Parts: sequence; C-alpha cells; structure tokens
Amino acid sequence: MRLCIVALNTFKESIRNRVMINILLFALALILLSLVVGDWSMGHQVKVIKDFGLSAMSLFGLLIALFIGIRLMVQELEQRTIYVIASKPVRRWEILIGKYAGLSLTLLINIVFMTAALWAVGFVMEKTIDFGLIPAIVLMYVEILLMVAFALLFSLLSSPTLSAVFTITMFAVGHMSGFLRDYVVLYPDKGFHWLFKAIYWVAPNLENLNLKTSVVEHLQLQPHAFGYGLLYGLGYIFIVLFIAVAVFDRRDLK
Amino acid sequence: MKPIARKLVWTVCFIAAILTVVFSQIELNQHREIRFVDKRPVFLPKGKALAALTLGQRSLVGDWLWISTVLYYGRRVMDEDNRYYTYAVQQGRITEELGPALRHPDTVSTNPLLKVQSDLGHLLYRFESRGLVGYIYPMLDGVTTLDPHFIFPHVFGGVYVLMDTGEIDAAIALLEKGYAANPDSWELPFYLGWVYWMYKSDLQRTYQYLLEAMGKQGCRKYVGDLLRGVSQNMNRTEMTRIYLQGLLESTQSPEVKKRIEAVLRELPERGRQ
Repeated sequence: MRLCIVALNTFKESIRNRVMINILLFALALILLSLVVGDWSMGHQVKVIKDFGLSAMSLFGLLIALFIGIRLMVQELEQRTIYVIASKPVRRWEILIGKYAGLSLTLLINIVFMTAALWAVGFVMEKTIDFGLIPAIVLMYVEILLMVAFALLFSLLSSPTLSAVFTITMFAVGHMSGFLRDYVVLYPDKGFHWLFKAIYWVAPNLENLNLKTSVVEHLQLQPHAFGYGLLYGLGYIFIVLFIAVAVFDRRDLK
Repeated sequence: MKPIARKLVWTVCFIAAILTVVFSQIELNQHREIRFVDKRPVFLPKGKALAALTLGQRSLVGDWLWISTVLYYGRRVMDEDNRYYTYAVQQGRITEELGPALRHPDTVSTNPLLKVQSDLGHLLYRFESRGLVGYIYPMLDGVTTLDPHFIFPHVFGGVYVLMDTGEIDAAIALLEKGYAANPDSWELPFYLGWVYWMYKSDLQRTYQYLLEAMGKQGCRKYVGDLLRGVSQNMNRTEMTRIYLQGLLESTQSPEVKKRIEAVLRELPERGRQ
C-alpha cells in the first residue's frame, strides 16, 4: 500500500515533467518523420518506417531513463525532501521501489503512445496494423526498465553526470556484448578473450531484448527468444534493483 | 517476519535471480548461430536525397558511406579473408547456408577468338557471390553520387566486384558514371576498355576507350601497347597480361592487387600453351 502511494506520487510528478513531455513529443514527431525517411529508401519504405519508429522509441526511452531516472532519487536527496518521506512510516526499499514503479508506469504510458503513433503511420502506408511488433515492443520496454534501474543504481553511487556516463556505457556495452561473443569464436587466434568473455557474462546482453529486426522482417520468431528474453530482462532488473536497495539501505541520510 | 528470516528470503531471491539470468543466457546461446549469409536489407537513402541532406559535408558523408560499403562487402562476400565465410566452411554449413541465398550467375558468352577468356574463367568469372551482396552497386552509386571525383569506388565496383558478382551492366554503368564526372581521367576509360574486352568481347568499344585513354594526360605507355594490340590483332594472352599489369599498377588496394596477381601467376603458363 505504502509502496503504491509512493509510486502514484512519482507517476503524477513525472507525468508533469516538462523534459519528459518534450522528449515524448519529439519522439512522436520523429515517428511521423519516418514517413519522409521511408520515401527515400529504395523499395523498403514500410520496413524503414518501422525500423525508424522502433529505434526512436528505444532511444527516447533511454533518454527518459537518463533524464528522469537519474533525477529520481538525486532530486530528493539534493532538495532534502527525502527526510520528510523517510520520517513517515515507510521503509527505504519501499521508497526506492515505489519511485521506480511510478516511473515504470509513466514509461509504459509513453510506450503506448509511441506504439499508437507508429501503428497510425504504418496504417497510412499498409492499411493494416502490424500487431507482430508487440513482442519487440514488450522487450524494448523491459530494456528501458533495465536502463532505468541502472540509472537509479548509478545515481545512488555517484554524481548525476557520472551516472549518465555509466548508464550510456552500459547501454553501449550491452548492445555490443553479442559481438564480443562472436569475436571470440571467429577470431580464436586474437587475444583478450578472457576479458570479452567476462564482459559478456557480467554486463547485460541487451541483444537478448532486441527483436526489432525479427519483427520488422517478419522472420519467424523462435518460441524461446521472447520467453527467455523476458525472463532474462526481468531477472536482471531484479538483481540491479536489489543492489540499489542494498546501497540505499546503507546510505547515511543524517 | 524476523529480520534474519527476511534477509534469508531476500538472499535466496537474489541468488535465484542470478541463476535465472545465467540460465536464460545459456538457453538463448544454444539457439544462436553465427551465420555467414546475411540477408538483412541495408538502409540506403537515394544518393541524391542524401546529397541534399549532408549540410555541406558531402565528402565526409561519402566517406562514411564508402566505409559502410567496404564493411558490407567484406562481411558478405565469399572470400578466404572473410572470417564469417571461413567459419561457415569449417562448420560444414556453407552449402546449407548458401542454398537459398545464392543466385546462379548468368552465362557470359565468351568470344571463341579470346581463348584466354575461358582459360581464366575460374578467376575472372568467379561470380560466386552473386545474390550475397545485392546492395553493393546501389551503395556504390550512393558513394559516387556524393563524391563523384572519388575514383576508387568506381574502379572497385567496375573491376573488383564484377569478378565476384558478374553484374557486367552495373559495373559498366558505374565506370561510365565515373568517366562522365571525371573526363580527364585516363584510368576510367582504360578500365571500361578492360570490361568491354574481357566481359563483353566488344573489340570496337575497347579500341574506342583505349584511344580516349591515350589522349589523356598521365596515360601510361602500356595503354599504347594495348591499343596497338587491339588494332594489330595481337596475341590475346599477351594483351591480357599487359592489361592486368596495368590494372595492378594503377590500384592501391591490397585486395585488388592480390586478386590480379593470382590471375597473372597463371597467365604465363597459359600463354606458352
């Protein structure tokens, strides 16, 4: 119950955030712009529109994770409003998870808006709504939630600027780790394999949550790809949030 | 719940989450293969539209597209330097992978007078990668629209890619586009002459292009030898050798050099036959 109150307050707060509204409007504009970009492609207009739209959703989700996720706790700590909340009968983990849940709800609404815009643009072109995009969008949402969790964790450990750098690095490494694995197999004669293997197993493999190409190309989705991807993402979010709670629990708020 | 019990429950949950992540990763890895044949379409704006959007950085965008083109080609072409290809061969999967992807090359009609054509067919008419690098000519068209004075992409598509794909008309169109934009270049008509001679068996066009190349500043002496060869019905093998040496001399690309040297190594033996 207390967790829900914190979540609801965070939701109300973030939905009014001008930065987020601007990012959302810009993302919607970009999805509409994909109509023009698609026209420049050579015979792959619908594909380009979908690629462009899904990438815009993913990247703007990352931006929201950076701008809002990092500020989520930092703002409370800087403005000392955390003392007011902490003095109430509410546990620290409830504050942290409540805030995370509130932002997750906001992000869900954003994703729904952007999906509706993408479907509208797709409908103009194809006269049909491509529901096949849903698995990719669900995993994309999980990916954004994971990035928010990382942003939250880093913001508890360092300054907002460094947190943004760390989160972007995690996003980049996460999308490259599949390549690192391929590199180890394809270039067995080259060095640093131990390092690449370590990165592959420790950093999140965000390609597990990336079905964009498969759904846009209408490739047959392997049954395991969505299920295990979802399991992987949710498991990872739990781990990162668990560490964030442990860090916040030990933080001296005096 | 007592604090110690709560801690225990959370610790178990944390370990369970780690195991879930590791287990899902292992499961996903089992279904993941490194494939040589990569048929993902390439996002490629039309060259003219891209030119309008470069905000005055045409050459820079052209360079970026050129690098993308080289990477695209290197990743997909059947070549022993392509690790994706050699890996598929090692795994014994190459035939299975190529099956649906490969388009069989059109038969090129060879001129019975140019016996050297059939002798060197296995090197100059490999055409193995046709169907695997379907976007290469549109990409090269984009590069050369952005930077029409960048000669090498024309040569790359007109000579080197042609050996792998057999897209003769696309190669000629690219070289002619380059020649129109660089009318002072002696190399482009020289290469055009090569394609018309070797792949089209059109001696009249070859003669015309060599003649044009001769009239340009900086033209090498061997172009004159070739011109004499065409007009005096020179030994065909000898002409091929001069042509290939000219191609070798005029390129900086190690890949192109390697391929031409391979052809030249076989040529003297054939010439003595």
